[in-house]
Amino acid sequence: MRPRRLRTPYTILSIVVIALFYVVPYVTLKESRGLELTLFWSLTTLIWLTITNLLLVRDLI
Amino acid sequence: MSDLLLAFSLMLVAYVSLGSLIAYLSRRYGVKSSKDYFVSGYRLGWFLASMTYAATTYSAFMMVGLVGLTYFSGVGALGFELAYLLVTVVILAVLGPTVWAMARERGWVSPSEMLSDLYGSRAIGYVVVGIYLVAMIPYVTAQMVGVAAIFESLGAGYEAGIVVMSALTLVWTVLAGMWSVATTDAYQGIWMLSAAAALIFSLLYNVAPSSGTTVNQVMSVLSEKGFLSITSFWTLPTFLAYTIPWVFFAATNPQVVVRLYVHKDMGSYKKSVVLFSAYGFIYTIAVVCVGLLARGLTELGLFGFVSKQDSVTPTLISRLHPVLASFIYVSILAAAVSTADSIILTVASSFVRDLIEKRGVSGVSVFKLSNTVVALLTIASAYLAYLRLGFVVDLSVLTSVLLLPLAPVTIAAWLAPHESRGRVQRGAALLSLLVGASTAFGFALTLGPRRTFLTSYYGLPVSALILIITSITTLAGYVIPKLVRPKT
Repeated sequence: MRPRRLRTPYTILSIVVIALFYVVPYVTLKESRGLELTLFWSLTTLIWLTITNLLLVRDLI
Repeated sequence: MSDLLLAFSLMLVAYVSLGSLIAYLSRRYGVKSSKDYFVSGYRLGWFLASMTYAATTYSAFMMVGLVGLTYFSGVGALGFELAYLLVTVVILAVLGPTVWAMARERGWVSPSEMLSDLYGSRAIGYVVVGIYLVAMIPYVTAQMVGVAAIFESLGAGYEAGIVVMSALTLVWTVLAGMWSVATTDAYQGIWMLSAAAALIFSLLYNVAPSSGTTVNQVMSVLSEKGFLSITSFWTLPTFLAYTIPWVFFAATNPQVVVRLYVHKDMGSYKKSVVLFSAYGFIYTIAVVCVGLLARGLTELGLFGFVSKQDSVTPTLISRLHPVLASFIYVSILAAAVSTADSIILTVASSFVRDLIEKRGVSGVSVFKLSNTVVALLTIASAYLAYLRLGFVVDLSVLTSVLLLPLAPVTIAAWLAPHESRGRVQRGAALLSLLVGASTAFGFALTLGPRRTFLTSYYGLPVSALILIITSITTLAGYVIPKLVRPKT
């Protein structure tokens, strides 16, 4: 098995992304009435799932 | 007999027949040991592994509970459900491969056996089995009650719903254990996703246009009424109360923990995570869209206001063609069965491995013994559903909170398996489980399960307090030995 080179940075970044998932809606998007909140949660999840899967399949995490 | 009941009966027969055929054919994979029965002998391919993970995770709550929650509380429900998915996939990517490798190396079959082995303590295994019983049986009971209520609303009878649900749960499990559960889960997972897609397309291209409105108008009214914002329901403590127990689902719920062991190789594991991510994302978006569209139609005066959260989906379905409505009703049954049989199989694995096999009891056929335990757990859940005991059904709301003490104990041992067998670590883990579980259960008894779920102290929900207490206790077990270790 190849060494998982990006495991530590990925884990740290994941914690940051998860924290943003909670913080941004309650700090920045609290007053938004359009699709901003929906798009924020959907796109954050979609992008991070895509990055996670790419890194996982390539044995980097 | 109404058109809807007739269509539902025919759809049910088709669903049961095909599912039973799939379960029967899965016997060809062969079940000779408890490893084969409970974890497919670690031989599942990526498609079955990911579909059984998805179908087990996503219960009837999605099409009934989440639609209703979105209808009443707006887009915050999307944040809650996606938070679960995001953290779960991170856990699957970072910790899952290690767990998969350790499971094969150490021969784990049940999640309680895993913890018992990681901490070198039988007592921990017994406590975990106890927690599973208290937390998981009400959850299965709630699934049965939900299905029975659907049967009752269609005029087929409450008891008939319990009989159908428990018969399917039992038969599709005992035929070939994990093999029959995984193959039927894949079938049911496809049914669930297809039904959600059919419902959303029907709303977008049939119900909305025939009501004389457009998606843009629906979105405008949702925006205007604040349903695309954080509504008053989703205060930060409420969002934390919903998400904290769920983000640790992958490490606490036995029916999904055991699904980390089952892949035939690492390539299969990785592919299954990719497919599960896609499934979870699409299914979540579809279900939340249904709730939002229903609310938009209500706000436009095109769909009567529904006062009960769990009645939104049935009321919506009642406006559809009977065949489509039946297809969706059966998908709710499929979601309930796929979750219930996986839970019962896993809880049974804890009984068989920890309480019988590991104690060296011999002379019993593993297959017969496992099937007997599965049957007893199914009958117990069905009986509780039949009694409609309010406290038991309410307790299902707290399932993830009751399981939460397992999160720090499990994750710490996954991260440091070479340290977890120490005396202090073991003691701290046991204390953590006992304190966490008794705190959660104590709150449930005094405040009632539903109030406990949303009660907060100093802005922190009960689940956060339990997580903090158990994390500190567990971590202390890992840190103290390092601090007091004599210098050499």
